[in-house]
Order: sequence, then C-alpha cells, then structure tokens
Amino acid sequence: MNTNNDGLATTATSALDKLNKALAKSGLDDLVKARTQRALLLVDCSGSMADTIRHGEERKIDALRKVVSTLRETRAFPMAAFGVRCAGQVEVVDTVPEPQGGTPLDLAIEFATAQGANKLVVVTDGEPNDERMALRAASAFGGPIDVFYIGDGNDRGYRFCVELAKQTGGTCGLTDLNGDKKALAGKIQLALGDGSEAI
Amino acid sequence: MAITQQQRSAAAAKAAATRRANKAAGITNPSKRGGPAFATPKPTSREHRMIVLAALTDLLAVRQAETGITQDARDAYAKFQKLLALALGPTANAAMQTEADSALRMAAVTLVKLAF
Repeated sequence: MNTNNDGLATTATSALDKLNKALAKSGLDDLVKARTQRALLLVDCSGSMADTIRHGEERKIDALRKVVSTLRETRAFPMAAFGVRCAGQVEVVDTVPEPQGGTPLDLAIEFATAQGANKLVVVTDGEPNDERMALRAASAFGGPIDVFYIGDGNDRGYRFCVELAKQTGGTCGLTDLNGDKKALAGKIQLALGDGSEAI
Repeated sequence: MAITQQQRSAAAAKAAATRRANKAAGITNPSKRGGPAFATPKPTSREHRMIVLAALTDLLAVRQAETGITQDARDAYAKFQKLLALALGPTANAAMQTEADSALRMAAVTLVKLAF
C-alpha cells in the first residue's frame, strides 16, 4: 500500500477501481480466484514440435509462435518452455525457443509448482517422457491444468492429456494449429484468465 | 558588537553576487516563487479509507485461499458487498451521505472480522 502523498491520488483511484471490481464479483469464490490466480503457460518445445502441421507446410513450433505473439499483444503473462536444452530442461522464456529435446512434462509441472503457480495451461503435441511421473507431479501441484493438445485426438497422447486435465479439474482442448490462430489465442487467454486483479 | 568596515564590505559583495545570480537565472523578484505551495492535493480521509478497504479485500482473498472458503465467509462477504454498494453509491443530500458513511464503517468492520 502506498501511503506516500506523491502517489496518493493514483493509489486512491486504483483502490476505488479494485473496490468496484470486488462489488462486481458474483461472490467470495470469484474474488479469491481473481486476486490469487497465478497462471503459467507451459509450452512444449520437444523435438516433434519441429514437424510440420498436418495438411500444412508450417512447422508446429512456428504456428505456436504466432499464437503466443497474438496472445502477448493483449497482455503480458509468464511462460515457460519445457524440452529445452538447459539445466532442468524447463525455463522461463519470453519467446518460444527452437524445439530440441524430449517431453519432460513432470519436470515442467514441478517447475511450475516451485515457481508458485496455481493454474497451468499446457500446450503440447505428444506423450510425456513419463506419464506416471507427470500425473504424480500434477497431483502434487494441486491446481487445475488446462491442456491444449496439438493433434487429431485419436492417439495415446491425447488420451493422456484428457486424463491429466480430468484429474486436476482442468479442461482439455484439441487443436491442429492449422486453423485461426487468433481464435486459439483467445481460448488460451480465457484459460489463463485476464490477470488484471492478481495481487 | 559593532560591525567592522571589512565585514560590511563582505556583506555588500555577497548581496551583489546574489543579485547577479538571480538576474542570470531570470529571477526578477526572488521573494515570489508563484504556483501552489504543495505538489499534491491535500489528502482526504475518504481516499485513505478506500485504500485501506481495498487492501483489506486483498488480505481477505489471500486468507481465504489459504484457509479455504466456508459458507459463513460467503454469507459475510455477500453482506459486505451490499454495504459497499451503499457506501460507494451516489448521494444526493446530507442524510444520504451520512448513511453512506455509516455503511462504509460497517463494511470495513465486516471485512476486518472476515480477514483477521
């Protein structure tokens, strides 16, 4: 709280804005969610993301970059890439790196837990390195995990993502990255929440 | 103690130097600064009340996230929202303003009970 006179007018305006938002909430659950949500976007940068989109010439990673770039036009949000070549195979990034490694989803979820996130949005195209470990990490994470699976939805990877989302109270969506990038960005944005009230 | 001729000359030289510096800076009458005395408007109790109340809603959100939301807390929060709506609503006369002030006080008390 800023009690310095210099910032008082601004602080009072933002305080009033905050109170009006509290008033607009449907209830306490809504307020708690809006003020304490710390959503992290986890993007899969495993080697398979270098493959081209089905029925397309663009690489999956390049299509994902466009989606992320569209997302960032509207607001800043934290993002981490997994399957990258760094010490823990997961790191916070500003732009989507080149695909190169495996799919250490369990490490990515553990990383998010350590970072203090309480909501995850995962964009992935494949099966994790270790499904059991990933589910265990998700259970320890405790918050909802929304998954956007890149594929046709008729494979083991998708079935795992559905299970992961279901176990954590999240949702699982399907995308081929071929369609409208803005629409997909909008869906991811919705999953991340607007973040405007986070403390 | 009488002022010596040397001290009088030094004072005159100092005053002349100040006049020259003021002239160089474009200050014609150094006794007048002009403009408001304070850079910010006078703080009001209403502004501070809003700041405290907003901070209390933050505390409430964090506390409830830590302890879990109970039905009693939901009911108390609904009561707080009604009081806050009354407190922040438009007031047409002194009686309504008194009512709004009273609602603000009760909203703050409700929030303190909920958050601590």
